[in-house]
Amino acid sequence: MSADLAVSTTHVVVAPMLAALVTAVLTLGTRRYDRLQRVLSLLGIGAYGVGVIVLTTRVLSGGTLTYQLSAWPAPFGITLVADALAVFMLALAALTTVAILIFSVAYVDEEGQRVSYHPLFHFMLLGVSGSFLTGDIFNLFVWFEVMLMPSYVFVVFYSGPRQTAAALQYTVLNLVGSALMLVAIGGIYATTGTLNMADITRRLADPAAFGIDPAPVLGLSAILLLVFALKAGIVPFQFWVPPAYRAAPAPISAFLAGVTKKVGVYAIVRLYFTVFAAGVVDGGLGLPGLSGESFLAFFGPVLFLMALASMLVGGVGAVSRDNLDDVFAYSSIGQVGFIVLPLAVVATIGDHSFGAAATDLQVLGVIAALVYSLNHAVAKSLLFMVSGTVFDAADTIELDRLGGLTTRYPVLSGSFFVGSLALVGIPPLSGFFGKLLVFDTGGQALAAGAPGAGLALAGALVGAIFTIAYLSRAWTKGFWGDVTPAVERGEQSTVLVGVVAALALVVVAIGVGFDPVYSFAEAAAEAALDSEGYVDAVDPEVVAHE
Amino acid sequence: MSLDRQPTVIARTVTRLVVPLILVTALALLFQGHNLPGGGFIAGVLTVTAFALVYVIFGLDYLEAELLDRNPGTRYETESGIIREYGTVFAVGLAVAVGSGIAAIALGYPFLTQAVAFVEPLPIYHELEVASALVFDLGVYAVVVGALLTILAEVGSE
Amino acid sequence: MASEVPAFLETAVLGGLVLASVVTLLAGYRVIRGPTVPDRVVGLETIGTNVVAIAALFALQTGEGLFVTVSLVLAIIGFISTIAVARFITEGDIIE
Repeated sequence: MSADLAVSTTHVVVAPMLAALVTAVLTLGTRRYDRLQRVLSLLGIGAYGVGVIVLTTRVLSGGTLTYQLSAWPAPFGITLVADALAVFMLALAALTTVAILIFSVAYVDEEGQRVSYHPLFHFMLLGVSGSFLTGDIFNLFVWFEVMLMPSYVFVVFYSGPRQTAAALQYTVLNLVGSALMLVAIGGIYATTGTLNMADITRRLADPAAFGIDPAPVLGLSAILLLVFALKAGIVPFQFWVPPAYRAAPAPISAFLAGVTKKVGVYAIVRLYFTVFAAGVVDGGLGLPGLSGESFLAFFGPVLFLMALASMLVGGVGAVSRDNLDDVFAYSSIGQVGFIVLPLAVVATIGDHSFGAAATDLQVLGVIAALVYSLNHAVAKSLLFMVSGTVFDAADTIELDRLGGLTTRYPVLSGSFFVGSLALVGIPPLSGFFGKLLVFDTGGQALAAGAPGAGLALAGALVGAIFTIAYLSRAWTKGFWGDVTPAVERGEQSTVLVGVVAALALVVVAIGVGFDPVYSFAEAAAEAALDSEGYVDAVDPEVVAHE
Repeated sequence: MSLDRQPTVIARTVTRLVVPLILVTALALLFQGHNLPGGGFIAGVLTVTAFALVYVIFGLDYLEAELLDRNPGTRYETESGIIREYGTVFAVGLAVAVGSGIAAIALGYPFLTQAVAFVEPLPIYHELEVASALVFDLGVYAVVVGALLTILAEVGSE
Repeated sequence: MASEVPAFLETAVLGGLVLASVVTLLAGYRVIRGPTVPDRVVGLETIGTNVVAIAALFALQTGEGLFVTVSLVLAIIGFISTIAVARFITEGDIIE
């Protein structure tokens, strides 16, 4: 048995995680040698990128790969599943974090880098990659924790009173969230008798054969949804976002907004569209407004309200803020609304009444969410790093004290402009296709007669108008106008501006060469909705119940 | 520590007796951990409680001054002295744990694969179970000890 | 395992379990009522000791050796917390 295991094992699945883990250990061990540590850290992120690229090409050409840690067969061991959805998210994370780490090396002061910056950064990356790859719901919890623990440290990184207050709120909130998540996972284990996500899918699809009752799983997965909404910063759990993003160093805000939030989005897509989508509650819930029997029909309206509220709260908040980080933080809340909205719209139409067209529409909705996630990850990281560069040069990010950045720092301002246009959704930038797909999903749902699709379109329109409003406000107040003394005094750093400009080029490139991105996202969306394919790929052993 | 705040003779004597007992319990849990309740984490926690007892009864400088026979570093200096050594224990432990997983890949098995061997016959002991999981447990043990002692020493010196 | 134990021992273990549980409840009353901090601390210590006893008795009753380990670890941690709390009350500072 061990011989053929060795042959069939594809270590490439675990390669990104190993790259992050080994780099974290190495940078921890070389804390006394600053330069060596930085070189190792950069090499490590390079190895991570290469690992993700190799894994992505393998998965896209050869289909879903699985990996059994410790050679324990599923569902007993820890399974890693690299399907198109997982590698899409990994690619998003790799693209963003490479830029963020290069930025960090030039941005964070030497003392700060020496203390713990690099090991923590790679641990956070490890947690993110683990969350994307794991095929085990308890391990999802573990990787969430691995991801959150470094982020606690990063929020309190500058150790001032404001950072401490933000970190306290952030930590307590996330610990409560983690406790809830653990309780819900324990309940799911007690109900379904398994923690392997493929096994849960299989059992929910055929509850009678396994002797389980799907109704409690619905309630437990609702608790899980709250936790993921908390991690993704969706209304009504958005209040931790602005203080935490302001307190963290700029590159870490970019990481948190660009990548960590997407883990919450990924968990929603993976669990509710792949795993729990198989669940059906006989006779429906009998609650007003919640017709339909599938789990998704229940979560659709909930997600819908959360997404609409996020777009409004984020938009209104961002319009009235007076410093760049706060504007971007509130903008993140609104943009996550745009990501969740298409998911919510297609979740409600999952029920049989729409026939074959429903499947196509669901794929479209998930594609919209994924493309928008990619756009937001790159563009928002770009904007947070612009804010960091401005702070580095002018020592302030208060809009009142900024002005005339366009004359003083044309490249930096140009990058900000590109990032803002991407968020607004101007062609040919990446954001255009994100917005287009969101509206397309809404439009097709409306044409198919899905309830609430009109409201979704109206909400997205209002959200888009808010986006234009707060970004043009930041642009006119901070970048145009007369050069203020703070801006006059400063000196820009070439490396920081270089990274920001490079990321701006990526935003343009994603938009111009959108075809491959679209087919990648399409493969990911199909993988997300292919519950049977997911179960077949993992192929958990059948355990006799009784 | 001033003389009038010395703990009583009872406390000091009991500590001398109990600390070795705690350490033995910790080691027992560490070695049985691969297939019985126990393991690196709880063994590490127990080891740290032994250190905590020494810190509480004899004060923060006792370890360095009496046991290691050297001048205790300044308390607020995190870059040197015993706190830095705790950090090294943490890093080494992490490296050992990760290395034990990667060794499996080097041998052609999936990450973290473990094996077990039974060594026999041994005089008196008869049969010894050698599990590769022990290496991983040792790594976890060092990580827990290093991390908790760093926290204890840092918070204790505040 | 339990069948090898003489009948009177089983009764005694059961009695001990009941007794320890009742004491735990009574100590719980003291922890809630107070009125001073040392009262509460002593109440907590009593609860800790009784949980150790319950674990040990439970090990006897079920014949599961692992509960002895549980009681051992609990006893160690209880002992250290007693010392730490005692020092906090008398000196106002745990570690110097």
